[in-house]
Amino acid sequence: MARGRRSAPGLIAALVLIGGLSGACQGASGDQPPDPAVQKVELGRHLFYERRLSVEGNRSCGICHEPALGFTDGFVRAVGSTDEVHHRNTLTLTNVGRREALTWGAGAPDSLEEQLLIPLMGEHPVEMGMANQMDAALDELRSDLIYERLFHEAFPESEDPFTLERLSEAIAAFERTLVSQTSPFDRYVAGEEDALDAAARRGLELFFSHRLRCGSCHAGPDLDQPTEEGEIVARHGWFNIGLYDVDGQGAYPERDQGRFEVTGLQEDRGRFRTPTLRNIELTGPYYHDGSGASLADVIRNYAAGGREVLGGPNPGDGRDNPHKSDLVRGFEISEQEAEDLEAFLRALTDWEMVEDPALADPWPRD
Amino acid sequence: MRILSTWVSILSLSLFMGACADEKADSSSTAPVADAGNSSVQDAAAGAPDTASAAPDDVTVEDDAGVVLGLGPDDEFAQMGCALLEGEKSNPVAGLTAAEAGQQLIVPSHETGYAITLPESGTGFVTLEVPDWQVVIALFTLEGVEIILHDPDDKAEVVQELSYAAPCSEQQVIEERTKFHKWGGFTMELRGEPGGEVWLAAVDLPLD
Repeated sequence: MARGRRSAPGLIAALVLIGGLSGACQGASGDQPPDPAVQKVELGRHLFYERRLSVEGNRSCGICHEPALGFTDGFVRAVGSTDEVHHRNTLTLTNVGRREALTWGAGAPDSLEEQLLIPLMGEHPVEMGMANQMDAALDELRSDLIYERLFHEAFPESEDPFTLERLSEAIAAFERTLVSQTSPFDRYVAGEEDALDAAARRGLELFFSHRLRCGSCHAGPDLDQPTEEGEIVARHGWFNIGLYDVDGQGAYPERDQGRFEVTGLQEDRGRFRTPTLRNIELTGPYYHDGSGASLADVIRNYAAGGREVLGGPNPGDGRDNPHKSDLVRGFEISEQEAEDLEAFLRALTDWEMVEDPALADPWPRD
Repeated sequence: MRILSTWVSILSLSLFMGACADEKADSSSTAPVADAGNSSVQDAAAGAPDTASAAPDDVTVEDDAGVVLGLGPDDEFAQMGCALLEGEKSNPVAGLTAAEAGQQLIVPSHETGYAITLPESGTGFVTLEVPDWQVVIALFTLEGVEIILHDPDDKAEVVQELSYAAPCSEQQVIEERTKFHKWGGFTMELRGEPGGEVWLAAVDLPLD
């Protein structure tokens, strides 16, 4: 894409994104709180990184959603406090405050306050493992001078704010501050033409081109929602992208069939939420089960119209999966174009956000 | 076993195995094949290169580069690794390429050993899911197998060089201990007999 000139698809996409972003920004600025609300966020930050909220003292929300990894953990599939392996890859918390569905398959609570109780106290699988430990943990926090101050400043009306409800309220308040809006892509969309280099600009154009159509699913302010022609407001989407076809009839590996487990509908086999692409450079490995090693692999699979698995435990040709989305059709892409596309995806990394001290771990570490 | 980082190859078992290949004409670069659960380390070792048919207390086997394979620590973790290779094992299937490594996880365990089926190419890929920061993991396998740990971000370092596992050295079990400074998934490349099994135990040591 030449500087100062946008092609039609790029322009449409940019308009959609600008609309979405400005709405999101209004939402964020509208949340500018009075002091107790500020203190609630600060309390939430401390709790987010609090290892005493895991049964073995080795996990916290922030350890498994690490800023340097785009608020993910680097695992293929998450490993909990007791070393139990989760069946899914950890999703980023980038811009989680404006997300409709909070998990890969949904069927889970749709508020942050409720959702965070699942990793905190869930037993299948154990993530932080606090199911039978919360009362003791709250007692311990109550005796900590830092928390004594923070809880009371955040909830001045509460006689005893050391409750699970207040704790989840504070963590959720902090999570809503995990906002990315200063990536090179955001600055480019806002009119700073030099924010993207030539390769990233070419990649942007490819991303929204009719040939690749990445934006058919990855659009909206967080590049996580589908839009259709003429549609300005993005809607939520679930897609089978042809990663597996274990039995020749569309099955995914036994441990995870996606939306099917929520709806029971055959057409929902292998359907998962479209993830945001913000900070995507940092959030690998990819896909719902972490089975995509690199961005290059992911691009290769989309170009092929799905993934053919030749070895390992789940061989089969995902390209032929009968439940695969019609939008995953495959496309021709040269080596140079694939590199440009990657350059654009890297331009979604918001270093200002991931290195923001206000979002960092407040606790001193060894 | 060796770690491949962007710039450095810390340890090269392949060099060592090359030396074995020179000495032993048969099946030198291949993994012993065994039926998991039915055969023993001794059975499997019978198919392995006979580089240490004597108890290797005084091992002086060298490769062309002069690497000497010594005897590892005789501690509870070595005993655990030997026991895991001796006992019943889980049977994962390795991916055909590095891109497929993420489909098969190997998790360090004090209870489970692995008999990993390799593709017909003789080279397979799995992911070692390292569960903690600053954790040392001892990897045990049978002599003749090559394990390459891919570490492009230099997050791991060998802290106990490749050696015979002291409690089961006579069965040609070898071990290496690696410290992982960060957790996460690490691609492991396994080379052995085409279509055969690689026996593996991954024992995590307590954190300091």
